[in-house]
Amino acid sequence: MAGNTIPIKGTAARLRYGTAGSGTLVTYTLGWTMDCKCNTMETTPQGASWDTFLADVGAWTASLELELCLGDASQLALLNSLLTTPGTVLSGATALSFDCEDTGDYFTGSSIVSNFQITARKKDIVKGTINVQGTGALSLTVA
Amino acid sequence: MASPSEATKGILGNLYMLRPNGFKGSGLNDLTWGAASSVTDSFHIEVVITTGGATNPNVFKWRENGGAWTENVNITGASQNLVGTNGTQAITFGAVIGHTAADQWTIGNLYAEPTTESTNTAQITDANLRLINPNSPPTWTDSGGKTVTEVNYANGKATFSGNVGTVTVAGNGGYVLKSGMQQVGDAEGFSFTGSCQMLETTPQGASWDTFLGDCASLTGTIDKFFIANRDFFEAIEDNIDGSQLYFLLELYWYDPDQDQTGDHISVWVTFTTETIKAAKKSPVMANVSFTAHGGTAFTANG
Repeated sequence: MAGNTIPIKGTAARLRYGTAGSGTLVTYTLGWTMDCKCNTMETTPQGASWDTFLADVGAWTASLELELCLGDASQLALLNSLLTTPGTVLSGATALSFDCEDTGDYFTGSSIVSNFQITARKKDIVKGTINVQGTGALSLTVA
Repeated sequence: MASPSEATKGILGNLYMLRPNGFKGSGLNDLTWGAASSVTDSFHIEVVITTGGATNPNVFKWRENGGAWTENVNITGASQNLVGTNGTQAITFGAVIGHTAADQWTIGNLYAEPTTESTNTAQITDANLRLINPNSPPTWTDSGGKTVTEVNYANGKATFSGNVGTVTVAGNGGYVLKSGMQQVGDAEGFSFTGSCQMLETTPQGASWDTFLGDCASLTGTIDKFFIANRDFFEAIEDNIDGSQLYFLLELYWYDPDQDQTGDHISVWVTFTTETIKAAKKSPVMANVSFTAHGGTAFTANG
């Protein structure tokens, strides 16, 4: 089906690690947030009544929330991409894909893990947050 | 057992820290490690108080490389040589009485320790010797003459200025024993954050921003119930007065047997802040922040 025509349940919008379109589901994810923006430059001249802008380059970041589970190879790979080899570009066979629904619509692009936080506290599950910085284009595939 | 394959509870977490002089215990920490001499191979020493308190003098036992104990050694208060098979280690206790039985100290000495080389890196081959000590940094020597550009003290790996030949590592107090680390009790939890600096490289003509990843860093916090004789304040004081620059932490988010074998990272840190909070209807709490010195190492449950 070409794109959802009714709202999607968040629980269906999973995260995948690997070649876009065939990546492995990352287990124990709680959700993700993606921010995509087009930088703008104000061009409003004197005398204008309304601000005007020129569009510039695009940029994107994403934040992943998960329950830490390093027996999952994808979670371990994401952590190690900063811990062991900081600055590793996740692309191709190591790319992240963000499912919009479970029938083939997804966002993907090359990215770098810019930040992660792990929290272990009593009376709670061990949780992690991983932030990625997109480098290059973000693309949307609609099945 | 490998890393868990399902979500885990924070209550299974654990914290260990290496205290000054490799001390583990609750009593008087006044042992000073002297020089190692007549060294023929890497070795470690464990010293354990067997008779403490007011008994004059207190008595200790010691052993080399986990071998047989040399027992019933009186504390003299002067420099004492522990003569082992692989070398002699000098120690001095500040006082002859007042120690606590079962308190212990450990030290590891490196001598021409072999490494596994790969292009421009070399890592200490013996995994038990990889927790190396930035407070007493060992010397890395490359037969090809390359110089060290970076050392990861948490995994015993050095990066050099070019492809290396044969690399060895040596130094008094150059490595620490995992078994010498003390469990940090009374902890409510911890968090840590790893970050990689992003450098924008977007050229004119591009449609999307591009980036290069640069240096990484790690910071964290620990929350615990404040117990005066088991607190991090001693560590911050040492950081401030320079008596010890770096402390080794092991942060376990999964240690179900509470035996120092679970999923964890090892990291040498400087403690940067401590906040003590005393409020009605609440236990007195301590929150301490730290920042990592160099790289870290992840170890899976095993």
